[in-house]
Amino acid sequence: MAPTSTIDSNLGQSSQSTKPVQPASSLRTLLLSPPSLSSHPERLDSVLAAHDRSATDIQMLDRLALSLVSLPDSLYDTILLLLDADGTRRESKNLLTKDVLDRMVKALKPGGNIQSQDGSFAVDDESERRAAILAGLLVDGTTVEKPSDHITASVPLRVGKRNDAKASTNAAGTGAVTLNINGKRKNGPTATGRPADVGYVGSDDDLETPSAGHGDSDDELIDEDTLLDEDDIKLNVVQPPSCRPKPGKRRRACKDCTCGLAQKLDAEDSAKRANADENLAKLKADDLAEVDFTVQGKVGSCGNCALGDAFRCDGCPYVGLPAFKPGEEVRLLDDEIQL
Amino acid sequence: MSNGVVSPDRSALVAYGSETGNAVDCSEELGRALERLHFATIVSALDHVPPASLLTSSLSSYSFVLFVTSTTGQGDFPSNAKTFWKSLLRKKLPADYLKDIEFSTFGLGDSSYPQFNWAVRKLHKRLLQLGAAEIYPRGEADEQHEEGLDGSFVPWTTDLRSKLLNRFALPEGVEPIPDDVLLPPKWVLSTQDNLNGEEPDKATKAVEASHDATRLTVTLRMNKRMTPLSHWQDVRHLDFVGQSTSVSYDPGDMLTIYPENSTSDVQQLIDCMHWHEVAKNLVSLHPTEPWRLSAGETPPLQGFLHPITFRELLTRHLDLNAIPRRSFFSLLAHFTTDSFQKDRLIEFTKPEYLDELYDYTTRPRRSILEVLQEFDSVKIPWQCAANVLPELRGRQFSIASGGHSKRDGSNVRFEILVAIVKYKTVIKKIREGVCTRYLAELKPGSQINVSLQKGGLGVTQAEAWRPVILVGPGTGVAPMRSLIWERLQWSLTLSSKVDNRQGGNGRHSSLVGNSILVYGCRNQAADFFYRDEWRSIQDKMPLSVYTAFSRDQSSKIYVQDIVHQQGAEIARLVLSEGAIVYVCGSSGKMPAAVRGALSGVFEQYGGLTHGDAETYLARMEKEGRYKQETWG
Repeated sequence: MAPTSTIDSNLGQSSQSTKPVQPASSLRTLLLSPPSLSSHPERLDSVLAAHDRSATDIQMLDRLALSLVSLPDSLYDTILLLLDADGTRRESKNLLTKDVLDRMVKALKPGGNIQSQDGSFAVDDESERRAAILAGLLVDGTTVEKPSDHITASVPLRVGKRNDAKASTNAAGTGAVTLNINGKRKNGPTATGRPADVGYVGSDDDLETPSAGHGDSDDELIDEDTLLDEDDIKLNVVQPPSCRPKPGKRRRACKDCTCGLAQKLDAEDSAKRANADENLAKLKADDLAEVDFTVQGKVGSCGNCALGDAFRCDGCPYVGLPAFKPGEEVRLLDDEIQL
Repeated sequence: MSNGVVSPDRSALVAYGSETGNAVDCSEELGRALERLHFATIVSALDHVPPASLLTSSLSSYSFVLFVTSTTGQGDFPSNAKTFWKSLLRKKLPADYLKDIEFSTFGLGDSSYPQFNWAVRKLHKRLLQLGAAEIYPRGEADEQHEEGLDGSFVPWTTDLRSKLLNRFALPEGVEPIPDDVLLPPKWVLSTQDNLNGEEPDKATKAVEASHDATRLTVTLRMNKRMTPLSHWQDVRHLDFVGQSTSVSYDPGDMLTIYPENSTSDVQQLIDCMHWHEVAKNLVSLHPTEPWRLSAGETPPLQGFLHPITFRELLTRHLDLNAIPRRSFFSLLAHFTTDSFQKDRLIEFTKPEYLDELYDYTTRPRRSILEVLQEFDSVKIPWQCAANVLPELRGRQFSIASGGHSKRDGSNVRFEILVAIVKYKTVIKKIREGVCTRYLAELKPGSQINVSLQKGGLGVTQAEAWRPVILVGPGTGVAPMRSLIWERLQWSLTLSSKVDNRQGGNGRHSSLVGNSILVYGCRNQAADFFYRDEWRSIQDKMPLSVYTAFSRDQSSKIYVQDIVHQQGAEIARLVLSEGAIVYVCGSSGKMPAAVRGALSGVFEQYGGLTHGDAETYLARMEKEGRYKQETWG
């Protein structure tokens, strides 16, 4: 990768607003200091000296752990974990709870990274590596990055007042999006936001005429996943008492049956079919491929054989055959029935 | 109003979200039940009733609203309810937004899916949050119930009816309309001659236009069998082109094909119903009461353009091969005078005969046409055909083309991979899928109407850098092929840009992440689709293809086994390089088995505990890094 060259591949959309690429000097850094360092201001100063003070914030890790401070969302390119006063991470590691890590990830820009001063974060310690993965970070060797695109979902494709409809349609239809190819994981548009439908134009913020799921970007909607709590999900079936399954009744196979019931039912059905075919074959032998239903004794005593499956008895040899009129010829030809 | 006793304060809305038509059917049945209680009832797709219209409808205000919806995908709303749902989720809606609405909800689901009836549960919660009042407890139908959806729907409706009669008592001397009285049809067909020179009104035209705008005419260029003739399964690769410079699509999107009934099926129905006279006449569909359209009632047929002949209507718009639903039998009972057949039809509609109905219809996959041929005394008036026969719905197929193969000059191009559906039941005649039979017989040069649907994979070029794990056995490879061609195009586009800037120093491979295709089928020789394409693509971008041929060795191997075999690489790509996992193909065991395999791989090679691996997968789903699209 050539870290300094940036390419705007915004295909022919020069008027579309593109986020300016920040010069390297303005990369924002957050330093997280363990409490032990507060009694050694000279160390803190020496660390600070290596950073552009105007683009660097510092917070105490213990205050963060106690939720005494809150971090801004998606601001930092790097979060640097400072070493304890004794040059280790013993103290600070204990403060790095799941909650703290989650909040650090939130404060990172997409594509931003977390490091410790000694480069050991999520590298040496297996449980720390797991915690980083579970916090949604991509851990690859010694780099620990926030994925580049899952937070920025609503930004580039947003059909807002600023972007005209044409720009949004293009972005959706042709894949003309802003890309930053210099670093493979820099800000890119939406992974989770779906592109607008082809030909969709315009949006409407009006309460009275909501638009077809495009004008509202996700951040203006409540998260529907939060609507159902554990109880709602566990809840199996709301059934009126009268239709609770009764014992002894036949079960049906699921659409995606994996327990074998479907095969069993299929086997029953093909046995039924085979049995009926066998009986038909007997008739065929008797009557030289012609069955005359006007002749007494050729139909069951129920007299319903000719009427179709809706009226036939269980085990009727004509099951699965079309209805026919008494007196009509039924020819049995090579497994095909013709009336 | 049709029944003469309705006052404006006695009106109801039944609003549905439906993917396959079950919720429409339930809603129509609810609508009829409410009409019998003298409620002027509008039955409408949820997307036709924006939330604001619940507040200020043209019927002043509804006495109550019944919401009926199935659940699709991962606990999602059906496509004709998504817009409504999204607008109901807006944060800016005040907590008393729906305070004047009284409602009940009914859900259709399948308890073999983990997100059983989530759509209706979410809707129920959100309606309450927005201040609406529930007048009757939610009902949930389960496909797995021994009596199917009706097992819950019938008792729920019966009880609702008596609750409503208490709550909204009928005036002295007015009785509910009994079941054996046929309600006047809401929509009727008429021939052009009967129009008295009247043009279809503007509202009717508008409805048609909106439905038709999404259709595109395409020409079939190739219909190629992908499996050897000796193989039991017939799988086709179809290649369509259509004139359009504006239409475009993304990997994962679906093409909807509108099938036609076979000439012989249509003729058999005409013979059976004695519709010979009218078959060649031009017909159009009209509401019997014009206020229904302005009130938002959804017409029974969509995409129906005037004028077409009655025979065309039967061929293209009405489903003769659908499995008849219970309400179909109750309608038929009105159209026969033969008491023997009428009694049997009515029996099939009774709750205690649901088992018999199932054995007669769903289990052997008996078609409407076959039922009508057995109940030969039934003569449906042609004017009512569109009310009695269900709409012939389009069927969706995942698009298999992507990248440069999406266009051909000024044409848009679609390729699909279709397994032709044929199977046997206890009925002697072989069952065939309506749409796949139609496609199998389609000749190159044929022009057909299609439309495009957004799929759920949400693929964007922004994620080009990410590696992808594509698990797509069988015809599930179609969207994967689309994505692979798309990524190849991204790769070429991005490299040429880098070349322009940097004088072509050729570090292209890292611009687009690795693609890992995990493919499974029965035999390498029979159904390893697109094998030669993969080879040619591998020269141009990083693509690995791992295969499971389940029947090519004594022990069966499936895609989930391949996930285990390639576990180290897959775990690394997902955990360290932010790979996206796509799982496409037939629903059933495969998706769960693949998910389980991934979880195992994260444990084994990523060092996660079982619980952490599951948490990680759940997080991937939430972030859109685990995407699944399966079909039954």
